[in-house]
Amino acid sequence: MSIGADTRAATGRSPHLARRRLPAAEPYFYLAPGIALVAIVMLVPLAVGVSFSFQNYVIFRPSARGWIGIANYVDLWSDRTFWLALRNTARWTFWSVAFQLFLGLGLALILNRPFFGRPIFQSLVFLPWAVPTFLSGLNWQWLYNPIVSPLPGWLAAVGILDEPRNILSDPDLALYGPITAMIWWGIPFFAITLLAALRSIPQDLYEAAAIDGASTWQSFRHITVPFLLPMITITIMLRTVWVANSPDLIFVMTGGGPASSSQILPNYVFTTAYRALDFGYASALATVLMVLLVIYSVFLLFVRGRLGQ
Amino acid sequence: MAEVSLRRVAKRYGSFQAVENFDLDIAHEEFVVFVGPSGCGKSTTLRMIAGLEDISDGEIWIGERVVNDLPPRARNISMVFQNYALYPHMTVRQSQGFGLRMARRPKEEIAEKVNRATSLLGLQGLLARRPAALSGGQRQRVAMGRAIVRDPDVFLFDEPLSNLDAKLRGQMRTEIKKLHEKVRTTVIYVTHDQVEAMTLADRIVVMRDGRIEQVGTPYEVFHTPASRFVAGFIGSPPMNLIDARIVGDGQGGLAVAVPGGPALPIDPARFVGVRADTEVTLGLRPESIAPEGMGGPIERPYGFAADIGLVEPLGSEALLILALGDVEVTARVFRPGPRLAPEAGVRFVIDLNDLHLFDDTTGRRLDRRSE
Repeated sequence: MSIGADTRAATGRSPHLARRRLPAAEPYFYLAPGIALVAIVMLVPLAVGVSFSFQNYVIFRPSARGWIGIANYVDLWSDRTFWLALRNTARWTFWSVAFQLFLGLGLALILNRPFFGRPIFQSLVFLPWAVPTFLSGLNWQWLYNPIVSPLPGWLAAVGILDEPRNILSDPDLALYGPITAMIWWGIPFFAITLLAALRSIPQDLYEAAAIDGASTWQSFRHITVPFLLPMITITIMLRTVWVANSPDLIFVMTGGGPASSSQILPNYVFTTAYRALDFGYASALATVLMVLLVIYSVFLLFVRGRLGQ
Repeated sequence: MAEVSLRRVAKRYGSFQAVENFDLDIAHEEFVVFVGPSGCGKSTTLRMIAGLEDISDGEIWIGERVVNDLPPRARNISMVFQNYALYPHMTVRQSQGFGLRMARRPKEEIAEKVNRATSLLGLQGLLARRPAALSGGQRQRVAMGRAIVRDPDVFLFDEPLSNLDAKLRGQMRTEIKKLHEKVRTTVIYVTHDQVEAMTLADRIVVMRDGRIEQVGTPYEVFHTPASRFVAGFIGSPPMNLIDARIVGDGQGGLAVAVPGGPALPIDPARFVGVRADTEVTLGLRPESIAPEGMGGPIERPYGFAADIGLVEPLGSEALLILALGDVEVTARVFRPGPRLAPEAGVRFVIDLNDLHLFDDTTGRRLDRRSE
């Protein structure tokens, strides 16, 4: 751009107004395409989805459609299946993420030390991540089937089950079937991210700690853990949101049954929307889940910020 | 109390011999500097003493114990690393007390020792800071503080000043020396900088290719270098090393002939094993060559004329590049006058008592004193 172009002599009119406003607005012009894209693909659908939750919107009753305020949320308060699904979501997410974290951390620590055949072992460890969830769900469903798989027999032999039966058809235990499948499938993610974090810890810190008299446990506690914590919190946050939002393993393995006993919120949303065709109520359920996850994420990010100081 | 002894210590990585046959006794409270070019094995040796590297062969003693199989924390040593290795998530106070906390010492003792180290190093105002908020020199000090707090038997320094700029390096060098006066402990210090070695050491160990070239006081290493390598490594600017030949001087004595230049008579009482018609390396320190009247006290002057090709004034001294026969040598003049300029046919003197001769093939010093 040439400076002479917008002087009075060149344009013949006062450049003052345009000049004063333009610099403040300029960055937004450049950002506009990006913002528009985000709005079209994310914000608008989100707003439309949330707006459904304030409507009576049942597909096969088009004449009854209309705004009904918070009636869907009031119904939700007295819906026993909703509360069961919410409790199940918490149980499902907590156990899945907790075991993924500890087993993933263990694997990362093992893979961080050199040993014979490490490259092969490392790629094997990351394999579950590459298996489609539907496939792994089907596999685990078979594994829990006492007719084709030895697993129920083993569980009975070590005393976890009273007899070799299918836990997926037991209302008290059904959810633990998909939980084990989810743990198995999600460990690699923790292992990969934590291994990357471990490799970024400067080796000489361990040497300094060893000379300072720290035992192996003490250098883990005082060097490794503080370095890993920011990565651990962010990974926990990501995985919690993903796991809480994944109905697929439960869908494949138990279908939410028996008798809704392994139903979690995303499954309930899905069945409400596509079986009962009640989009209004399904949106209310989904909105509640989203708000809870946002609160949780903000809390974790706050904790992470405190750790960084 | 801790002497450190290394007995035929070796370190091999596969077929590569990083350190071999390393024999050294270090006295209690002695300040020993390992010096040598990169890859000479000095850091490896230090890390073996620290317990950070396994020892392939030989024995290392600290005090009354063989420490070969002891982990670093059982050796009662402390170490200052090249890049300080400060714990980034700990404040200065926390990292200073880390070793004592790990040893579960009482809080009052930790506070007292941290305070003592802190005041010794002038870190009082920085205790609440983390390493990211410290300058290079401050980090260096914190790293030394962490080492002092633990009252180790032996202090190990691994190139501690090489990450600092030249001015700060000079200051910290002085501080380390002062610190050693106050905290009398055995110190082993690794550097590739011969100035650090000369200024700090009680004794210098010059290393090359995993072997000891020479062990001696700074004075010995400078004035009677045991080999051509040591002669070229210690001293700045380096010693002039000239490929020369021993000849008869025609009167029954011997002289060392510079190619295309003068034959300098040598003292037969000093260079006993030297015979005529052999190739040698002649070593001449820049400060033992000077224009007539500008040199210091010269014991056995030998005069010759030469052309000054270049003058490099350094303020308190000047380096003259001159032609001695066919070879270029550097001379060093102290308190040069303002009129020093390239000039032909200037009269120079060499101090014949300050000649060094090295065997042409082995590089060893040819001198009775070294035998």
